[in-house]
Formats: sequence, C-alpha cells, structure tokens
Amino acid sequence: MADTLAAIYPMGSMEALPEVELEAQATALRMLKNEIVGHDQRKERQVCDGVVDMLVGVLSLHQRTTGSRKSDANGPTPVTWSWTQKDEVRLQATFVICTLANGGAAFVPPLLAAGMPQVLMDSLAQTTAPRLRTATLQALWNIVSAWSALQVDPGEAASTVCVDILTKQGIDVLSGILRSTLSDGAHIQQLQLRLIADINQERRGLSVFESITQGGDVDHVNALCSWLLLLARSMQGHSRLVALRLLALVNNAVDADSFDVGHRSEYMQKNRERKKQIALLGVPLAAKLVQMASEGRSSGSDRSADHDDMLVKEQACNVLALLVRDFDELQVAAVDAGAIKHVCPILKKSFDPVPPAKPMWSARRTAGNADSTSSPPTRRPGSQGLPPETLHAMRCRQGALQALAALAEKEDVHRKAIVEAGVVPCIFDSLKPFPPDYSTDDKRRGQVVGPKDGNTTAVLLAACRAAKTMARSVSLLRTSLIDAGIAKPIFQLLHHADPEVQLAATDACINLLLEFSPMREDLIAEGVVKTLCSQAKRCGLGGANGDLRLRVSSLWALKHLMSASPREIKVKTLEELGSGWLIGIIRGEQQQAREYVSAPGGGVSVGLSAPNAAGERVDLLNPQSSGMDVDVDEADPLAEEDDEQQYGNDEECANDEEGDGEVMFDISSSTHYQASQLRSTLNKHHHPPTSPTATQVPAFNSRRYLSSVRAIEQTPALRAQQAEVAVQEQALDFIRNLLNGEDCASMFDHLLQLIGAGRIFDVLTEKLVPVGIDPATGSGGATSSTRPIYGPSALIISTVNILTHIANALPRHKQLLIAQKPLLKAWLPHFIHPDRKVRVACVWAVNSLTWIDDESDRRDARQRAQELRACGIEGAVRRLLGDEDLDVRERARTGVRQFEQL
Amino acid sequence: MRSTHASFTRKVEEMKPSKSDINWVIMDYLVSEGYPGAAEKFAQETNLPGPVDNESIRERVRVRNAIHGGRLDEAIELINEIDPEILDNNHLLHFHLLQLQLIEIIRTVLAKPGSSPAATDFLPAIKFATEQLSPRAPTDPKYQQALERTMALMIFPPEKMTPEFKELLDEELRRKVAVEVNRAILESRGERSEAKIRQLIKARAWAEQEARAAKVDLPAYVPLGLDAADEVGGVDGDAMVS
Repeated sequence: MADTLAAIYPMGSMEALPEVELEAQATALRMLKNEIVGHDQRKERQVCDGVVDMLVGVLSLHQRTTGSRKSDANGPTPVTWSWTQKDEVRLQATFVICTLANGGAAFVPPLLAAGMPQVLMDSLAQTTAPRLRTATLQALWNIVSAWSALQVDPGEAASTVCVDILTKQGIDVLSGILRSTLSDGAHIQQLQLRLIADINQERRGLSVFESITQGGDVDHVNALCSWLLLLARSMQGHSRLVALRLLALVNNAVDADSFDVGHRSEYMQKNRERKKQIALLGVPLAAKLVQMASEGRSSGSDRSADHDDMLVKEQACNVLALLVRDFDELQVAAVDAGAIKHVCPILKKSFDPVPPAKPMWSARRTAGNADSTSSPPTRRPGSQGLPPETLHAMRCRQGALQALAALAEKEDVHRKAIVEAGVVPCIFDSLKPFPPDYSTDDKRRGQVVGPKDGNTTAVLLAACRAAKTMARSVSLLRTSLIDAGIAKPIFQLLHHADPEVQLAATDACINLLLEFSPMREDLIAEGVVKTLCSQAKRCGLGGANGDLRLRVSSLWALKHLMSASPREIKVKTLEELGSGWLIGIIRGEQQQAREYVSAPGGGVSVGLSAPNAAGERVDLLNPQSSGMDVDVDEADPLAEEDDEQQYGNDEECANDEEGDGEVMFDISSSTHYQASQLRSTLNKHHHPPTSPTATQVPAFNSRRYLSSVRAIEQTPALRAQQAEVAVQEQALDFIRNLLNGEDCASMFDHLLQLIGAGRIFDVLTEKLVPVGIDPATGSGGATSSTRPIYGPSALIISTVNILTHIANALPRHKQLLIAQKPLLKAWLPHFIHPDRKVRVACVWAVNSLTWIDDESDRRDARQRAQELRACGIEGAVRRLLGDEDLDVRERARTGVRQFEQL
Repeated sequence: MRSTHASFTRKVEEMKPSKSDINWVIMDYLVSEGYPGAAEKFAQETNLPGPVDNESIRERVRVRNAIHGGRLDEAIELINEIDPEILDNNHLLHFHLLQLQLIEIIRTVLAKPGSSPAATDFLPAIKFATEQLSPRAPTDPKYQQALERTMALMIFPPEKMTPEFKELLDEELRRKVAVEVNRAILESRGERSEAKIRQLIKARAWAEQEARAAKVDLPAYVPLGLDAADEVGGVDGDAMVS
C-alpha cells in the first residue's frame, strides 16, 4: 500500500514534474480510487497509511502551479479550456476524497484535521472545468454530509470539530458558480445546483441564495421560482426534492425580505401569484414525495438505487416543512394533498426496531487501535457515529416532526387531524434525549444504539417545535397533550446541555404556562419558576452581543405565568427575578448599550430604545413618513380591548413567532411595526423629500430598496438591538400581567413597596420620552434634530398598558399617577401615534383614569380630569373622535363622555 | 360483437400518431439504450437533431461492451471513471459486478481443455472471493447466498449442475447486469433511467388491464405489433373471436 502512496506523491519538489510523471501520478491515483470504491475497510486502512496528507499535498501543490489558469469564479467562464494532465491528477485526487468521505463519520476527523474543506474550496475557486468542479462539489457535499452524521452522535456531544465552508469567500465562490453554470451542460448544471443546495441545507443557511436573490426584483424571483417548479416536475426522486428545496429557499429568502413592501399592490399581487403557483404546483409534488417515502415506494418509475430512495425518505418531510412554514395557504395546500396522512406514519415508523447491520468481514485481523493515539490526527479515523439504521430513523423522525410543526402552525383543524392520527405519544417519545452516559462506543461492547433508545439533538429541537405549535390549540392543551404528559419531558429539556435545546424547550413552555393550561400547576410543582428566572438572568452575560433569545423566551413564559396566578406565585416569581434586576432590564442598561449602538450610525447617538440602529432618524409622530406602517396593521389580527384578552394577544404573538429563533422578534406584531418604520425612514433617506407629501410616494426602486434594507438589517448591531427591545417588551408585559386581575391594587402596593413610586414612574416616563432625552431635565443632546425620536411602538404600548392597570387600581393609585407631571407630559405626544394600537391603548388609560370608582371618588375624579385637561390630554382625546380607526373613535367617544359627566 | 370489434379497429386506425413523435421515441430508445451509431444514422435519415451528448452514450457503450465481453475489471474501472459515487453508494450493484467477475474467473478455469481442473486451479478465484466479495457477505443474506452459489460452481462439474447454477454461467446474466449498470449511470446523471418506449408499453398494458376490468368491449387479444409472432397472433385473435 505504501508503494501506491509513494508512486502518487514522491517526496521532493513537484514544481517541474514532467508530463510523464504527472501521468504516472494520475494512474496511481486512479488505481487507488478503484481500490477503495465500495470497500469501506480499505478506506480506513488507507487513511491510517496517510492518504489524507498525500491528497492535500497533491491538491494544494497543483493549485499553486496552475496559477496561470486561475480564473475568477465570479467572472465569465472561459469558453474554451483544455484538459491538462494536471487537471486529470486533481480530478482523480478529488474522486479519492469523495470516496473516502462516503465512508461516513469516521473519516471526518482526519479530513478536517488536514483542512480538507478549505483545500477543496480553494480548488473550487480556481477551476472552471465542469468535471472537476462537479467532483469537487461532490467531495465537499460528502464531507458535510458525513459531518452532519457526526453531529448527531450522542457520544460526541462535546465534539469540537466543525466544518465552516460557508465563509464569506466560500459564499462568493458558490454563488459565482451558480451564476455561471448556465454555460455548462444541462445535467452538470443540475448536479451542481443539487450539490450546492445540499451543502447549504446542512448549514440551515440561506446565505448563498440570499446573495442570489439579493438585488433581484420580484419579477426576477418569480421567473426563478417558475423555472425551479419546471425543473422539479421534470426530475425524479432526490433531484426533484432538491429542486423543491431550492424553491423553498428562494421563496423564503424573498419573503423574509418583502413583508413590508406589501402595501404596493403590484408587488403584493406578484407575490400572491407566486404563492399560488407554489401551492398548486410545488406543494403537491412535495406531498407526493412524502407519500412515497411513507409508503416505502420507490420515487422513480423503475429505480435500482436504494441510496436515492433513502435520501428521499430522510429529506422529503423536511423539504415540505421548509416550503410551507410561515405560509398558511401553503399549509392548507399541503394538508389538502394528504400531508398529515403521510407524515404521521413516517414518524411512527421511526420508532420501529431495526435489525442492526451486521459488520463486514475481513480476511485480516484488524490490527486494533493500539497505536492510534501515537499517529497524527490526519491518520486517525474517528468513531463511526450512530449505526446507519439508527441515524436514518433519527433523520426521518426529525423531518416528520419538523413537518408536523409547520403544518400545525396556524390551523386548528390540522392540529386535530394530527392528534387523530395518533402521533402525540410519538412527539412525547421524541422529547427524550439519549441517556447522558450513552456512547456509541457501547456498540463495541455488543450493545447497539437503536431508534428507541433516545433522540438526537436535531430530533429534540424538532419535537419541541412540534409541541409548541400543537400547544397553540387550547382544546388540545386540555386534552391530548395533557394526557400524553408532555410537560414533564419539556421541563427536563430546560436543563439540557445544548443551549439551542434549552431555548426550544423554553419556547414550548410558553404556551404550556398559559392561564387555561392544565399543565401549569405541574410545571410550577416541578420548579419551573426557578428555572425560568435563572435562565432569564443567566443569559446574555456572555458579552456585549450575548444571545438574548433565551432571556426573551424565559420572560415570555414568566409573563404568561403571571396572568391570573395566585398572589403567592406572583410574589415569589418577582422575588426570584429580583425587582432591581427587572427594573434594570426595562431600562435596558442604556448607557453601555448606547455606545455600542452609536458606532455604526456615523456619530449619531441613538439609544437602544430607538427603532433604528443605523443612525437613521425616526419620527413616529409624522404619519406622512410612516404611511407604510399602517398597512401592516391591517394584516394584524390583534385588536384586543382589555387585558383579559391581552394574553390571548400574547399568544397570538407566540403564534406568529418563528421557530427559527432569530426571527422571533421580527414577526411579533409589534416589532413588525418597528421594522417597517426603519424601512420607511430608509426609503425617505434614499429619496430626499422635496415637499412633505413627496415622501409618501417616492419613485420605487425595489431592487435598490431591498438590498439596502437587507444590508442594514443584517448588521449585528441592529440584531442585538432588536433582541434588546424584545427583552424590554417582555419585561414590561411581565409587570403588566403582574398587575392584571383581582389583586391589581395589592400587587401595585407590593411594587411600590419594593421599588418605590419615584423609581417606577421614572422608568415608565423614560419609556415614553424621546430617545436620548433625560426624563428629569427634559433636555438631552441626542441629535441636533428638531424632531424627537421615540422608542419602538411595542414598548410604548406596553408602557401605556401598565398605566391603564395602575389607573384601574384604587383611587389613591389613580391620584398617584395623575400627580406625575413629567410622565403626563411625556405621554401626550403618543395620542397621535401613527400606530392605532398605541392610540387605542392611550384612550383606554385615560378612560380608566376618569372613571369614578364610587361617590367618595367623585371629587378626586373631577380633579383628575382637570389635570388631564391642563396638560392637553383631554384635547388629544377629543381630537381622536375623528380618528380614521373605528376602534379609536369608539374609545374616544366613551372617553369624552366620561369627561363630560364630571 | 363484430360491430364493437369493427369500431375498435376503426378507432385504432383513426388514431394517427405523428411520424415525428414515433421517430422521437425511437431516437430516445437508441440514446438511452446506448446505440450511438444507429442514433446518428437515424438522425440523418429522419432529419431529427442528433443526440446531444454523444460522448456520454459512448461511455455507456464501452461499459456495456466490457460487461458483455466478460471484462468486468475494465467495466468497473470505466464506471469509476464516469462517477465513483455510483458503485460507492450502490453496494448491490457493485456486488453484482464483482460476482460476475468471480464467475468469469471460474469460467476460464472450467473452460480449460483436459481433465477436470485441479483444486489449485481455483486459488485465484478463492483469493478474489476472499478479498472482494467476502467482506460484504455477512451484512445481508442476499449477498451471502449469492456468494455461496457462485463458489459452488467450483465444486460441481458443469455437466452435473442444476439449472440454478447453470444460470450463473449463462451469458444472459451479463446482459442483465449490463442493463442495471446502464440505468445506474443514467440515474447518476439525473436522466431518465429507462427508454420512453418501455414506459409506453407498460402504460399500455396497464390501460388494457383497467379496460378489461371495467368490462370495456375489446378484442380478446390486442397485438402489440412489436414482433412477428405478435402480428400473426393478432390476426388469429381476430378470427378466433368470431
């Protein structure tokens, strides 16, 4: 064997290898390839003999020497190229890598130790020859796919190896290839697309496709989608699946981008057409593949390859989930095509015991790994990971759960159908991790990890998501979900070592802690309060841009727990969190954060509560500039009128919230508004207004618009800031729910006692005043602007709702509130807030303030009305009588009547 | 009865499939089954565009010829040159090729003139089986059985073999494997793995079955018209019903 290697890679300089020797090298590599194809044992021996180092040597050497032919992957492909002997050597070497990586997880550590992904990426950037390019992509894909098998190995929980090919440079190379593939032969093009899509899928990334759709307008995207549909219909099996996945990625990438431009009717119309096309032509195709996977039928007409069918089985559900997630009309289309009927058996079947594959036989005794520790890492194969059958079951299970989570997102009918299919116990079983001491090494001692022994992290995440969306149905919460005992495993997952699992479990908890959830008591008994509080406090400590998602979710769950809970629970939770900590969170640790955010804004200091981290100025009070925002409201189902329904409202938010995590805050109704505001300002920014009305209808350049929005939204500063806003919102709503209910007065007294009236009202005032202004002095030098900048409407709504609660407590609390002159002054501008939800909340609070509790309160009530008149609030309410929104008008009418009765 | 037949035949005659459609189906057959020369000639005669990627057809032809000629090592190398993924992922196909190669090794020993072969003559075959086929054998009964049967060829003299062993020495097996390989290569390129005409014939058989199940009036025998026997049968069939 060593001879073969020596023939391939003679030591010493190869810079000037004559053609003859190159030919010998190619021949030796070809022999090596034929030796190992289909023989996994031989692959292992080759790795131990050092083949990996040799391959890296060959590839990187020829890259350097082929510099003259180097071409920019982004540039146009040269029309002609000649296949040189060097290319042949590289091709054969790449084939060997493909074959090695096919050997599975064991080959990942040596390949990574040798830096193979980077070597291949470099190779990809330097070649335009279709054969070599395809082979290189195939090798990359094989490595990534073997790596993903390693990731789910419960024994490798602390695995530090990671593949990171999607660096900036990597993305450039891949998208360059996507752009230029048209010049290649059609089948090579399809193959390359497939490989790139697959590589991306493993990273759950949209990055490459984002860079493709970036700058593309809606027509371009629609054309791309139509082409992908056509491609999907013309292909079979796994290739068809890949085309559908691409379709989903492109559609999602556009949609993430465009929800705000929705009011442009033409744009919206075109988006709708695309959705309809996907619903009619794409979704049924995906459902059909799921059906075939479910029935164990071959996906092609007459196929011989099991491999392809196996991939379809593992991925069909995932692709369906990716297609329909976030789009209720597509979810309906999927269910119409029988999705639930076919997904559920796949989930059930994933728990069937599988006979483990018998090991291969070998003529020679395996030498054992006695000397393995002494050999360099590139010569040391790792653990084989989960048995392939178990891995297959896990992947099928994960996909099925993912699909159920997506299908149960919006429609109660779908959730009921899922329950009727009898898979709730399967969801329960999918929430159990592998026992902590589990290791795949056990199989060497004769024990094999089977599909029923536990679940991989990916399955746990998917199961939490499925539990979360299923729990949105109140009736299921009270019936099948409690029967299945879903609360206990979810609670246990809160303590899982993986932060992503913790987060997913917390998200699932949110709905289980709702007032009407029968699981609330159990979870409290398990100690959920302590766990959530410590999660909320622990998270984000890691540094300036610490991950705040866990804090948001934990506070969200606690907020739900606060509504209609007994006083002891409320007091205990508040104590656990610490009133000081809570106030600090609401204030947003502004000082330090302001510095953090102001940097990218080009010197304009904007505080955290400003909606815009990019330094753009935002004027909430100018309806002209925020005409875009109002339309968002129309799509918003929330119009709750009192706090009893407010957590219904919160649940809606939970419904809207995305499983992915990072989009969570964007989608919640309130930050919708915030995001759109950012955009409207940007729009203005790009088209400087010549007159006040000109801002409203600027010439619309969607291409430029979208890319600028994306560029800004992707800045880490803005992300961090959105997370911060979400934290503050949940913290404010926590207080609001704390004050809600029968014991409102006594809880407020409790707060007064803990925190002090001065501090409470200072914080509330702080949330209402323009950003960057010191609430005490009313002055502040945030900008030289004449227009004030206010915080996101979500925070203002939450703040005003707290005012309503205070006003609903005892008369003396009302008096206390009316005495806060700076607060009233800060409140006034929000009566003409462009967001109708803010205006409604404002009038509600006034109505509570002018309410006469009893005869003894009449005199005080009159005095309160006078105060409100004096600071201009009464006038503001009167002006709302002519508001464009019916709800606002009705509340204002009540308000004015109450003023007049005093 | 007569009248329904007449109407069926009339309907058949009324269906006039376009000449170019038929030509397309023929061309498709020649391309996917791997007849590049015939495809080119046919293209010239019919004014159809020739096959797009002649080289890829020729590749498949080389593989097929190697298998038909019993040169299995050559065939495997050619396949690995086209795409090493094919055999690396499709273990069954790989095993079939190796089994065929083992059969060829045994065949040469058996074919040696003279008295029955000595035990040592089979050493290369045993070595090959140990290195190439045995590792996979215990992983699945189907591999094990195939290997055992093939090894049995070394035990029985050819004239005493039962049909199931004779089958292994039959060259028909080469053709069968060659078809599998052809499909696998086509699939690896994302192309249809079967000529359109095969699908059409299946669709026709299905349609006839459905029609009969629904008791549609059909002649008892509808000829396919693909070979001479059929033609005769078709005419006879008509006569028999009357």
